Amino acid sequence: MAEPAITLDRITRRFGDRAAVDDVSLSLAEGRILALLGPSGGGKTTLLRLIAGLEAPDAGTLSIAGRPVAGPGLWMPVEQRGVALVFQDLALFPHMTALQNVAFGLKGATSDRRARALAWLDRVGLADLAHRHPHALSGGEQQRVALARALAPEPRVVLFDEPFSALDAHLRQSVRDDVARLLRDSGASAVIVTHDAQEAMGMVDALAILEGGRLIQMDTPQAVYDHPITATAARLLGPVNLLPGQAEGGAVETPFGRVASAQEGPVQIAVRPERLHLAQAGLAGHVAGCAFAGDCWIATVETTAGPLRVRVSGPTQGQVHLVAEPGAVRVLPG
Amino acid sequence: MALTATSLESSSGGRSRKRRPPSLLHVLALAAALIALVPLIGVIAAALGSTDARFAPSDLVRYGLTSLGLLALVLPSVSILGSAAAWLVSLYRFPGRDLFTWMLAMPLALPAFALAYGYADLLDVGGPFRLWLRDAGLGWSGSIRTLWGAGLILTLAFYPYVYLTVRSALTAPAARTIEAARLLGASPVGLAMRVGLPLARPAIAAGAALAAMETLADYGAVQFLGVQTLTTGVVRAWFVLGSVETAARLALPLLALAAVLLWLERQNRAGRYAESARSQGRRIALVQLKGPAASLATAFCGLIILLGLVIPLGWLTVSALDVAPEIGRIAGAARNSFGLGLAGAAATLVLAAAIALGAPRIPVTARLASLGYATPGAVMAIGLLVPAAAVWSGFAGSTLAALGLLVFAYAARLMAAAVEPLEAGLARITPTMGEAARLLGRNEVATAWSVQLPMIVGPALTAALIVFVDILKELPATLILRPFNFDTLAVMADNYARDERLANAGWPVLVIVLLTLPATWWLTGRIGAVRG
Repeated sequence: MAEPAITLDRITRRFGDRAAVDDVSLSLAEGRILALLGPSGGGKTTLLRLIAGLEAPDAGTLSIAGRPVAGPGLWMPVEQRGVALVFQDLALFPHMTALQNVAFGLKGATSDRRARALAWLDRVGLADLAHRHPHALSGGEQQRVALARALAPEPRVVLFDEPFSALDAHLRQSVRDDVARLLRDSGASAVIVTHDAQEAMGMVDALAILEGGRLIQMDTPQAVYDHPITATAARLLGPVNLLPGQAEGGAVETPFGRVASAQEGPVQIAVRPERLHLAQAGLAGHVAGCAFAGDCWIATVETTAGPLRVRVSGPTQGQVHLVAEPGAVRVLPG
Repeated sequence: MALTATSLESSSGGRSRKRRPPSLLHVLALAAALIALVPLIGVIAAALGSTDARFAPSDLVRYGLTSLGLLALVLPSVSILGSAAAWLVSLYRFPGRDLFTWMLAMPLALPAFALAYGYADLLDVGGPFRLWLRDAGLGWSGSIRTLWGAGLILTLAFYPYVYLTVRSALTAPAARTIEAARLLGASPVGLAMRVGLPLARPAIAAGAALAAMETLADYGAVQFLGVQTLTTGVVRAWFVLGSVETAARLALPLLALAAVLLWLERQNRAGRYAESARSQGRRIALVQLKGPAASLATAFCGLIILLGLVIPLGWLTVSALDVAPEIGRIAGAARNSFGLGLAGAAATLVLAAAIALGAPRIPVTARLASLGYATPGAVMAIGLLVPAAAVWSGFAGSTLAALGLLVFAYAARLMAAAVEPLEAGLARITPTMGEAARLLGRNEVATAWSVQLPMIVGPALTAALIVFVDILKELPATLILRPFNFDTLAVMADNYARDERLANAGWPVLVIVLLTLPATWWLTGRIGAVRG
């Protein structure tokens, strides 16, 4: 089996006495796309910069394509790693045209570099604007130039730092599709830092949740969505109802019945709004509000256990009863 | 908790500790600041250390009062003229407005003494204006060679400082405030008084402070007009009495005034260069003036340009054409001016670069450099004579040493003017650009060469040109420090003017303007405010 594209082995990076990245181990297989997700300050960007070689780890070993590049007594400079990074601020060179920006990382004869850079601009739909400077390009166009610049040298690993945060919703979708397509075509592995789970879920193979510098969970998007292991992970992936609970004797009494718990003491009970349904019997409550959400409505139901958001098919009011789908109620550490 | 984590993670915090640039940069920045400081220490030391007081205190008071009187005339008039012109071209469309927008800055290309020569030649007894008045049957016994005359000349020479600072203050954020006031129904006069004036007040103060610095520093114009200010006193004390100590004592109040003006200017500025660069294309929507209002606006701006540029320069040209130029002497002086300008620009640029790179860590260096900028050239020169003589007793005879000292004086005075565009240029370079280049396979040296250096070349050229133009126009420091018989264009013009050969003085002035006019045009198009 091929070596993983990226391997982090107990990587730690401290700033002062605080660990921004704390004992993180993970590996990403060749050609896979990983999203780093987490609250701001969780260590996402630092982890990305460690992989790029813009930060040095204080402990642990980092390998790229099976080759250790940073670790105790080991340091491969940024420019030799063959890792690409699309910066949040894009960091286009303002004194160069789009074409010169893309050609910057290419090697070989001038005419050849030019031709390859132009081909990349064509691939992102910007061949017409090759001779514009960045300031004369729109936000979406600048984003595409940055993407072409990063991918043109055909790196095996591409890193993205909040790549779509500066774009409006419409552009976001189209640039995101471009990124996914180009990444699949190139076969490169990618790590995408984002705080927008919706954005990440559709295009990645795996999600890694970072919180307080620690890797909390890493799994496929669906697994993290359905089986989050902390409340933070649950919230990051989408709307969720969280209720306090008490675990005793290996189980928790929830409003929807008894659920097995691996731990004792105070816990949180999590259930997603779309996995609660209106029924003839069940947890009683009355609808305090109902908001239109495009393809559905979200009702806020006041119950004895507290307010719960429920996904419903139309405007709802009055007294209702709620039931949960089997397996929908999760017990998380309190 | 989350906040600390964010600030830690959001880049520089941790990294800069690891990759702190070599302390060599700090040393260089401090050395550059010291260069601006040496002459100031020299002046203070000479003034306080001597027992050799060869001037009556009454002289000091008289010179001081004249300087203050000149300020009292120039400050309000440059403020009104400059801000009114800036307000008109920034808000309204009227015939000639596009031309006026850049023409109004052009008097900066003229040394103040050129205006003085032109007007004196035109208005003196026996001049064409008197003859024309007499033919018209009118009498006029006034003279331009008075405090009032000097005030008028310096106003025309220095109002562009206010014009440029106010004009750049009236872009970007101000635009929206002004548009909001218009939507709320403010009348044109109400708009100017209740919105425009408060918005522009810091810019007016900053520009007026710059104009005041130049007024105090001026030697060529006031000397020629026979107005005895502190600066002419400093130069006279050196040439007539041969006394550095006397000159230094006269220079002390100038130094104090310069410090006050500098403080005023710093209080009121807000990154003029950077702001004007960012705000391009986000102008205020111009309102079309019609009828008498349009004619008045055109007449007002036209009159300023006529008085500040066209009449003095035109008359100097006309009278210069009457006499044959001494081509050989002019060519020699032009060569000297050019050489000094290049050497001065190069030296200043190196020092300014050290400060621009080091200033974010040691801000005091930039402040010291500004103090040098506020100091009149004559004071700078006197301040340098003391340490120079102390270091090297054989100094007086050596041409090369004298030229070196002159370049030192230029650099000490003009460093701050060059720091400004360099800082703005450096600010455009984000840390991520360097990182991007590294990730694309360049090592540190190649990154500096292909990313940082090209981005700083444009601003460096701007800085060098600002310094070069200033050196071409410089007179008092050059007069004091130049080697024997070493004439620059400005010195040559001054020599002719002393002999009242104003037509001859026109030629070197025209050569200066030939160089400074296109340079000033280019610079004002490029940056919001040209200093110097």
